[in-house]
Amino acid sequence: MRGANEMSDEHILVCLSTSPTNKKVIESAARMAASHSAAFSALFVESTAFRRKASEAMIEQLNENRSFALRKGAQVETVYGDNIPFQIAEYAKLSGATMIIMGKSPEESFSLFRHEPLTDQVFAAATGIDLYVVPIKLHSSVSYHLRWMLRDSGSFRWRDLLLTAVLLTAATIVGILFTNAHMSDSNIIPFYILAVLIISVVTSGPLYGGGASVLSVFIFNYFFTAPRFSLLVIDSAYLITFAVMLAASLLTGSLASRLKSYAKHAAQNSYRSQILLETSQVLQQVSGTDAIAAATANQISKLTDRTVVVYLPGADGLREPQIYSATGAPDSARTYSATGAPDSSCFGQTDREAAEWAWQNRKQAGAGTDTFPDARMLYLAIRIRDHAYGVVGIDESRRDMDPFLLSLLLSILGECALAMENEKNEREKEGAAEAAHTQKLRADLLRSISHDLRTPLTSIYGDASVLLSDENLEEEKRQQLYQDICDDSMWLIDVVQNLLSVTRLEDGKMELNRQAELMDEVIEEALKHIDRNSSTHHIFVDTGDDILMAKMDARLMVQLIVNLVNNAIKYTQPDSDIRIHAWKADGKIYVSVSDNGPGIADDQKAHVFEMFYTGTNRIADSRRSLGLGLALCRSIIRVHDGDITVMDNKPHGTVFTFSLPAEEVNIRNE
Amino acid sequence: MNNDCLILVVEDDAPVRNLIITTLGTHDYSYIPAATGEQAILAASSHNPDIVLLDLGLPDISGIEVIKKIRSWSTMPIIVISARSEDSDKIEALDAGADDYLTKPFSVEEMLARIRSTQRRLTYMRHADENQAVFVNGSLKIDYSANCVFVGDQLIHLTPIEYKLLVLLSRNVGKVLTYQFITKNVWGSSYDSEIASLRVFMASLRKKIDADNPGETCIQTHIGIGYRMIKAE
Repeated sequence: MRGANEMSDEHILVCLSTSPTNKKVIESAARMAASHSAAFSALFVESTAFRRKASEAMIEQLNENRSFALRKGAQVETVYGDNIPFQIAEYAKLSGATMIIMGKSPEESFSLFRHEPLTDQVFAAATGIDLYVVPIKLHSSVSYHLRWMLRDSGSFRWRDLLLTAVLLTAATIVGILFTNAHMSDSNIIPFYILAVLIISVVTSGPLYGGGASVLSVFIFNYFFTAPRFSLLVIDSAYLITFAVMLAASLLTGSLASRLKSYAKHAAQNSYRSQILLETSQVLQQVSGTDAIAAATANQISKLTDRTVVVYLPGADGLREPQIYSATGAPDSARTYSATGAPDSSCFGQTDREAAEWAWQNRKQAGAGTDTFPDARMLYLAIRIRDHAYGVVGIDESRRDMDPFLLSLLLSILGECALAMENEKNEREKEGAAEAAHTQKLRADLLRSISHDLRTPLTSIYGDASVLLSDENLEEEKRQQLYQDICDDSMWLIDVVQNLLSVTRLEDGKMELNRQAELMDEVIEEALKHIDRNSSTHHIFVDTGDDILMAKMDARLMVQLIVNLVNNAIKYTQPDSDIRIHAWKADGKIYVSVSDNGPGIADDQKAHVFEMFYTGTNRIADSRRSLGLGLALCRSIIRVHDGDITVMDNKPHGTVFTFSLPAEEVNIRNE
Repeated sequence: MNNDCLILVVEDDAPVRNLIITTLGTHDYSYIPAATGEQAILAASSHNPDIVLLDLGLPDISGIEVIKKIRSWSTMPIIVISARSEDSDKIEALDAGADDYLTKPFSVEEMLARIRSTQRRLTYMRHADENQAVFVNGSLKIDYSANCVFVGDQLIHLTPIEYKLLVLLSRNVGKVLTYQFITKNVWGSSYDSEIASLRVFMASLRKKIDADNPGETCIQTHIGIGYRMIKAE
């Protein structure tokens, strides 16, 4: 799409229109983007007027312009709103555009009774962003398009017409009353001007005000100037009166209507800021992507009084949607499978596809758009720049989304995306801290290992050399050396096994091989791996008759039990009892390893799970321990979402108990 | 002990190879040592050994490749020796056609026990008819034609799934069968839920079969890998 050369920070935004000359603007913008090696996007603002009145030819031209922009490497976007300059400026700010490029016709600036030209309005709204205007020759028809797209005057409503008629009639009746009371007709004129003023305020668009101005002049002429009940004018002085009356009422009307539109915008803006402020406050109070999405959905559904669905990304593609009905909380009571439930149509194939499309293209899809228009909902991506965090669907079965609401929704989603990005950054930061911690742990570990492994290696090496060189060694001594080599190697094997587990756990990658396992089988396996010294201890196992199944990495779990039992053997006198007991309670599997040895002092209990903590206990054979065992146990149990505790046994001794979430088994019996 | 059993020892690490062949020699086994995968394949095809002891980490080609090559023409029992404690390697090797595995570090007793049990299986397979109707292993007797299972003289009642599992194990007696292999054969798929079900069925099956002599089980559990029916002596 874009050049392979490095991208600068520049971002060029070109405005699309329905004009055939728009291509020239796009081309200039594309050239500019290429020479600045800037990001390039194209924007079209779709207004209510456009939706209502766009002709086939205009839409075709617009699509042609769109695809032309696409070919030129632009990222094409559409936003909805009636306040076009504001929308352009907002989009430019949100998307980080550094330059806006627009076309401008020379004729546009001359229009009478018109707002300032669009370019000037954008310039005023988009402070801090460069605006480049490409001059184009405008055909009259194009000028017309631009003009009506700018205002919402094209709408024709019966209500407004009726109001105009009623108000003018009222003014006329008052005038007739005045005339009957023999008052001067000049007193009547203000009533008409008042009527025009009121009409301009209560009706939509300046059309009615203007029409009423002209009409009132004729009515005044017909009813109140001699000869009455005729449009004829005898006294030429009245012509001036008419002119002044027309000018005055036109001016009042246009002022009033402009005032009204300003007021409306101001109200909308303040409403908008209020909603956005509230949203951002709500979003600040929650944490976690799911919670942010839920808060946003609730906010939207409260605001629009519509059902909202949220799709968040899972491991592959979008997860199943969460539904927020208009009443608020996620509606879990009803099932929303593809068949059955009343609201299932929002999960029909089309809707799912529309959501997927919105997710993949980071654009709007579904009801009211060009993509999947048959869908029940309108799907909007929660996104910042090119990164999407999810898709929100809003019930659009009534097809009555108004542009202001839509742009407000987009802003809310922008807030939501921002919150999610913050969340993501926060997580990444935590991840980095965690990684640093792991790194330190690993360094400590290595230092400790290289130191502690030397002892048994020295003894193995020494014993073996003696056996090789000294042929006259007594048989008894020889046996002793063999035994030492054997014991030291066993100890090394044990340590290496633990180290492997530690690196596997602390790798951060967590390549756990979790499967449902039966706890009694795991205990059985673990007992095969414990020290040979165990023959000096009595080991009892009690696993009951329940099916004790839990999801676990079997190898790590075996390691955990081996460590606990080996520990018990190491720290108790020969002939002690070691009991392994497994049971199920409250949806958890508990396993306890208890001994009747000397026990652990209370002040040491808090530290036993720390890495490299070996306590003050001297082990019977004075073999130094790495202090890895129990720390590893805790790590293992943590990645299994379980818990491990240490307590005193009665009358003396220690009990280590760990728990795991139990796995419910759905047996497939066919 | 008189062994007319030829064992191919494939191990690139000289001290370990030495340990293995010394042990085999002292127990009257004949052996062929090989240090690389290429040598192993050559020796396997030219000497047609009875059992292959195969280290998975070879310098030239991977042990899995060696298994696949050998399996293309022979069903000779292969016992894999793995230094990696990752279960996935073993599962991969077993699924590729290996019969059993040993994890380094292993004791020589353990190795000899594996070889003996493989020998028993070999003897059984040589004398057994492929289509025999009755399978006998220690006190366990399966009558395939009548779909009946006996322990001693006692008729054992099994559920259809338990019976399927038992038949699968008995048809592959002495071989370690991975969870995936078993669930695929019994349920046709291997989702997590089926592996959980497998655990439960296996536990109940073992309880029924070992009712007579608890502790002496003929179905071994290989945690994280699978199950195996051992051929009784």
